[in-house]
Amino acid sequence: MIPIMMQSEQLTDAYIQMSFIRAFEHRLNELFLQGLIAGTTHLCVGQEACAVGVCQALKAEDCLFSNHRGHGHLLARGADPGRVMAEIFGSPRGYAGGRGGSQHMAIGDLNFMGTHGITAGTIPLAVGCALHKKLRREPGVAVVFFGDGAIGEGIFHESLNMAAIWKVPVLFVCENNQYAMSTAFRKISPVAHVVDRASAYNMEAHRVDGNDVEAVHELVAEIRGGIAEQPHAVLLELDTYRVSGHSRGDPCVYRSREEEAHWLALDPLARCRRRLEEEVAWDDAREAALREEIGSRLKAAEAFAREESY
Amino acid sequence: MRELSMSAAIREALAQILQERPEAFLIGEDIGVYGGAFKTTSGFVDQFGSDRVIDTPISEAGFVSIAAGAALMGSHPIVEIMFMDFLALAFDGIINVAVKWREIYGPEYAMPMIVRAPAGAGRSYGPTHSQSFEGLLQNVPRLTICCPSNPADAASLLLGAMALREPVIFIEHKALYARKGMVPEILTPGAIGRAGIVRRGTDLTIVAYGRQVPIALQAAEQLAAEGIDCEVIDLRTVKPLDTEAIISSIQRTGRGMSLEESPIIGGIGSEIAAVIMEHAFDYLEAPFARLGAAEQAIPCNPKLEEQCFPTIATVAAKARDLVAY
Repeated sequence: MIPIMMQSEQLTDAYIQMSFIRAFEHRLNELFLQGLIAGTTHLCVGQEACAVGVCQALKAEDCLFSNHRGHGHLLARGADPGRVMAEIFGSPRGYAGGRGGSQHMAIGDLNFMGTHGITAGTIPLAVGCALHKKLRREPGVAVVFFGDGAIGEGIFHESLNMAAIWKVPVLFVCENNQYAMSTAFRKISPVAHVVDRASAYNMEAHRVDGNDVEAVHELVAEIRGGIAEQPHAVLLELDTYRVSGHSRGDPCVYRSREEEAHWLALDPLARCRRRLEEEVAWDDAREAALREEIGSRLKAAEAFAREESY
Repeated sequence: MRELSMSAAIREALAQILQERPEAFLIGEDIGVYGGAFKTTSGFVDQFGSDRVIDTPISEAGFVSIAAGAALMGSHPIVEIMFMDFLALAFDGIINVAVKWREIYGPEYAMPMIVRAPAGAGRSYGPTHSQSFEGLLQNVPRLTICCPSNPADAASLLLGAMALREPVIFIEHKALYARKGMVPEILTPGAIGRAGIVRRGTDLTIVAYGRQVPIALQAAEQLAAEGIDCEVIDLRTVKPLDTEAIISSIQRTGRGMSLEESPIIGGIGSEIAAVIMEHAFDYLEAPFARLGAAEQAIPCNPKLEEQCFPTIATVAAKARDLVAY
């Protein structure tokens, strides 16, 4: 198979999207801390390369399912930031009319079938989506994002098992950010990696550095091509780190500052920027221009989100 | 009209759905070559193929949610849960997914699916193969629950549930599968949420569904000989509840009781009693009575099992009490 290489325009685009997602999440955090948004939120700071690398490698006919930590997936798929933020604000302009909030959004036009507040709850939905595609001979692949915490649920096993025996076109994307809320992965898994479980289902599996957007994109493009050619199920594990706390008000007492520093050095944005400096001579001037553009896009999104309320 | 057993009527309705609706498929445990634990899908896998009649591993949570995922895409799955007791494993797919997507995201995200669940006691299957969860499930917003009592209703409600394009729990009482009844030559969809008055009477209203309907009718016959004239309502669907039929009957009779196979506390009868308190309080000449499953695990021993549920004798005795009140 010819390796699928990321083009420099795609790399630039990935960097722009990742930067926007991070700024979006940081701004949301500020708004929450100011008490301007009700409820809770789960930020994906540090995991932007997973969302962007996967979504960029998918096609329009592919159907996506996400989880409680879904802002990055939605934005990477092309969601309107104003409407995502409006949903989080509980506005009638949001993707679920304010009924869903941070954890529940769906965008039919983008084949984004839903984020969800029940851990592992969307894994079987993706299998059902893939089963429908197979039965009705519809094109595309079902893709579901979940965290390392989701593998503790029995339905993870049931879903992967049925996906494997029925050979439905589904890609299971586990973003292993090392913690299920406060509980370290090593405490909940007797095997070192999520992909180690794939052998029980005789399932194709891959593990890759989830903080390397190029590596994620290229691997997913290859996997997606393979599934489209011959429907089957694939388990993909992306090693990453949740820089932000689990949700609003998490003091992160369960992990060390050394560990945080280790992962900070592997920051997906900084790495992508270094690659851009090599590839397209990205410099401080372009970075400043991007910051400005992101700032004004965010301002517009926030204005849209806050203009109308119930 | 012709005479069919309830399982034959269900089988015919399912075959009609598979023939007419390409988006429909059956999914569940042992429904293929085996034909289902209660033989309601026998021969289907040969007739419709393994893509339309999908055998699963023993994974109720998984295949209920998988069905919901397929429904989201435009399929219309009909899930068979071998015994309703096993539906406890799959509540997440019903409560957090199937009824929620449409509610949160709008009608284009509806998850049309039917979950068929053989339920009820009377066959000595014991504590984990005899339960009825309609009482539990009525508490889930927007969930439709059908409980047919006879072959004709089973077929028409199944087609009606299909036409509804919403998640529906379809409860089939195991003790009714072999019971025969007249069924129209051509099966047509029945109204969901509409009760039927299966016996007219003036002294007392008995509200029942499923296997309790024949019990109510037999008790009513016995009581008629004593000069007590009972009206019997067959709910057909316990949710939506046909409150109008219940209220107008109580307004006429002034006395009533409910029969069910789910536990009395928080059960269907409790809901009916509340509706009557709210809308027909002034018409009551005696307190409304609830008869249902005893507050205990359902025993395997046939005699102990029978004692858990309303019988012709207990229904008749309660009716006499109410009339004498």
